[in-house]
Amino acid sequence: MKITDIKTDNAIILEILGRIDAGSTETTEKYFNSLISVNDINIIVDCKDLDYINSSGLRIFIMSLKKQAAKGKKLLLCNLQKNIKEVFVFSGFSNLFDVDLDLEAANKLAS
Amino acid sequence: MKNKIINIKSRTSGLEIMNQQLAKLVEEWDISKDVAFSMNLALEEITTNIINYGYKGVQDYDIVIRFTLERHKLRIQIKDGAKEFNPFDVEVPEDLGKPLEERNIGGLGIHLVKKFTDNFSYRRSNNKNIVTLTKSLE
Repeated sequence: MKITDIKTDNAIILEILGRIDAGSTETTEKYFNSLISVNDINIIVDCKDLDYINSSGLRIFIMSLKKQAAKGKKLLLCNLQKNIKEVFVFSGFSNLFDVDLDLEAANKLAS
Repeated sequence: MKNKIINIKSRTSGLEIMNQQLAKLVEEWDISKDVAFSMNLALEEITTNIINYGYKGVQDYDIVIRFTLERHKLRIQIKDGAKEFNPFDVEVPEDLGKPLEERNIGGLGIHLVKKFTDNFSYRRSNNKNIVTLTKSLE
């Protein structure tokens, strides 16, 4: 699993490459915690290369969303692969996250 | 029918070995991406549950996992020696529609196991907990 980020005027855009699984949840959680604690900006997670997520990974997104909401900022996900989208839908979290955004739509929402 | 049995320890490195083993079998047995995703998720949720609740975070216990490729389905059996515990008795979170602040996300993992497998079962035998998961190969 690898995460890269680019800062634009309105948001930080993250790209997560690979899997958020038992071996990478701790790293992912630390990454999000530190990113949110030092930035006061909307966050877009581009999931086009995210191949796998488990419930611990989902919790990281939920916790991060809570923290962002508390600051009046957004956490948006985009380009979800079919299986990842299903995890969000089956968990009932598709009412917290729009799971059908592409990067362009996410950018619009963040601006 | 093909079989593979692995024995992992109740810790994160054990789960990593388990995931690598499954990835290897997915290739060897030519299992589709969707089936691999579903069964990997179900397997991780069950074993994480065993480690956190059954073994209460103690890292040196054993979990035995048997992967079986049948004609039309993949079967995974997970056996542990913790006290009797049926993970499927855990209440499905009823608060999925509730606002974020009111949610309890505790039973989420098991909820996902039920959604992503075709069949799931639990039995207690010879002082072992045995969970069996199956998924059609499509």
